[in-house]
Amino acid sequence: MPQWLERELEERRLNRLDLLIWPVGLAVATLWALPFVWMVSTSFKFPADVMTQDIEWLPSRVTFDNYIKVFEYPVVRWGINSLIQATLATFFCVLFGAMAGYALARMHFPGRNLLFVIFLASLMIPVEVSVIPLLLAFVKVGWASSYQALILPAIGNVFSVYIFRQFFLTFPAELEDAAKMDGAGPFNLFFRIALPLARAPAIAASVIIFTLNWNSFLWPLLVTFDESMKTLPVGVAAFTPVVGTRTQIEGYSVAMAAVTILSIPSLLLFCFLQRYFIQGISQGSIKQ
Amino acid sequence: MAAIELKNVAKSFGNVAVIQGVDLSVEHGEFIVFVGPSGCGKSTLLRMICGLEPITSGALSIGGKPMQGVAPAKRGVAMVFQNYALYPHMTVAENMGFSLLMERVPRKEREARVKRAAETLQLGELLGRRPKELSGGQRQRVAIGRAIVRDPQVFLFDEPLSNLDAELRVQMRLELAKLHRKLGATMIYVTHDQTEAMTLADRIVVLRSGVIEQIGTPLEIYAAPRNRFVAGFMGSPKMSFLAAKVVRTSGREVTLAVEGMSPATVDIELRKAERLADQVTLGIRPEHFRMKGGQGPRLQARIDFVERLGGDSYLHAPDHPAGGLIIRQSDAVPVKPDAMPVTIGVDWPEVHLFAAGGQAIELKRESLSES
Ligand SMILES: Nc1ncnc2c1ncn2[C@@H]1O[C@H](COP(=O)(O)OP(=O)(O)OP(=O)(O)O)[C@@H](O)[C@H]1O
Ligand SMILES: [Mg+2]
Repeated sequence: MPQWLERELEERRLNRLDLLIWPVGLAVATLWALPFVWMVSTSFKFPADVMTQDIEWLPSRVTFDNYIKVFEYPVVRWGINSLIQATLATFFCVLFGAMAGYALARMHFPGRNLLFVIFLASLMIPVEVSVIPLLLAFVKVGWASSYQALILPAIGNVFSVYIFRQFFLTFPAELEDAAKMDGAGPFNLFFRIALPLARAPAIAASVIIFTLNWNSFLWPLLVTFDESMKTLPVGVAAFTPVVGTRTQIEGYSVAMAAVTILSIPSLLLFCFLQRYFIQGISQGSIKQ
Repeated sequence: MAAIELKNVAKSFGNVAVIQGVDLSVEHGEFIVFVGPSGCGKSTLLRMICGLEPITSGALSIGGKPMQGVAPAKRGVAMVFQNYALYPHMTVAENMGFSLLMERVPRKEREARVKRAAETLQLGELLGRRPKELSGGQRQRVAIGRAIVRDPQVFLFDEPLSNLDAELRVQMRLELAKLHRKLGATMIYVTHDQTEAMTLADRIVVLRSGVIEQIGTPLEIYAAPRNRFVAGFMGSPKMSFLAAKVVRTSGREVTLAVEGMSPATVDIELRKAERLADQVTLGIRPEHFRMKGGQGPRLQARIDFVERLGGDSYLHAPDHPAGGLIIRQSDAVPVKPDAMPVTIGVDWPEVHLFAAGGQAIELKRESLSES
């Protein structure tokens, strides 16, 4: 290794392994970013520029027509539905996940490890299997095409339980002992001591679960029967151009505009909470 | 009525017996110190007293009331933890007031009591800070403050000073002694530190493997250890143990032969006539060796290395044939390590004698003579 490179590495506090990791990471990041760039770029193109001989990464001419066309549909209403659905589902999902994770990690009751294994095992059941019985149940209760239908099934989420369980496993036992000595029962112990100290996993779980709910498609598609209850992904799916028709090309750029709008909230959330997000994810795996 | 009474208290984790039949009665206002090797059950005993750990068998009462099924917070007991265990997301004032909040004490009174405790511990300016903005010593004071606020009858301390540096430890030790005088509360204190145990305790409880080996005032424990374990555990540096052979017994008179000694035998008078096994152990504290003077038989030993502490020096002679020696020398010019053996005198009236099983044999003091 040439000397200038060594000196450079030292100055930037990198080690030799970083020389390998950084280019690979950069390549992977680029690969992941490409479709996103393509989506945004296409959403600003004229229909004529969408399918070109040479790949046009950035539009040569810019138009906002696609966005205007998107708003001819009730996207605002869908957006509000999506927001209500994703926010409430995330809130309860994180709250209950924290409670369950806390109980699984800190409370000694028989079968708690078995219970956790069952939780994890439930991940192996594909959504497609459970979705029809669930739909029938909601229809029977008369809750089809309602907010309850959109929110309730999303509240139980094993991922949220998992992330909190891992966090609370490393939670100092002395803090709990001190709180018990101070007279805190399980309720105060959880809400006044454990939960306020679980900010990192709470944020990580929130970002992931919010994104998951915001993008959820199959269940909202099945359970919403009228236009006004549709969520954004379900509504936007209607834009997907039918292959082989004249409108295919035009529909393509409008669809891209719709999807761009759809991705904004998750993107913002991630940007603002990135620091906590990474903290929370690594907390479970790396013990300090 | 005792402040704390343990009757035949035992604790097992699964089928591992950690505490075995402990009987202990603590008087009101007493300062009790638990010492013992790591893992002997000191923390477990404390945790059983405060109710964080259920008792497997036996009975515990505090202030005359049986504690079976009484929640930790309802026992009139406060605990100070080794790692302070302050709530990181609360200010000092909130940390100290948390127990009162849990008791639903009105806010006005809560603030007043926190303020009073803060004054006792000189924490006034720190009330608005978070634990991570405090030094180690300040955190320890807050942890003690959190205990004081509840106005408990009994304080439990689990190695509270072990995370502090030497100087701060000495300072906090004095403050704790003062606090004990001021509050007049009963205190039980766990420590690894001999000095803390000797200076703070009214009585010391020496534990080994979940069994109480001896209870007594610091001086009793030091001067009259009940067995070889206590003798070796208390005192730093350790007591030297020398193998000795019983060559003759007549009534209370025993003649012992020790290797590497001249003359080869020494006469020792027991307090009462007793049959001894052939092999016994002599125990001699570092300060009971004499480099100069002293009467009676003397030991020959090669000094291997010397620890100089300024005033005193400790001479180590690990390969004496009867057992390793540690000798305190207070002279200004200590002996130098040398390949040639030196002659070491012994304060024979101060030695200890242990039977083969380790239990101390009572000696008639000041009645030992050379043979
Ligand atoms: N929750 C537990 N489950 C199983 N064994 C335990 C538990 N807590 C303590 N022990 C065991 O009980 C014994 C006594 O532990 P304890 O913590 O009381 O020792 P200690 O005297 O406080 O030691 P130290 O001086 O190192 O703090 C140890 O052997 C320990 O392994
Ligand atoms: Mg301990």
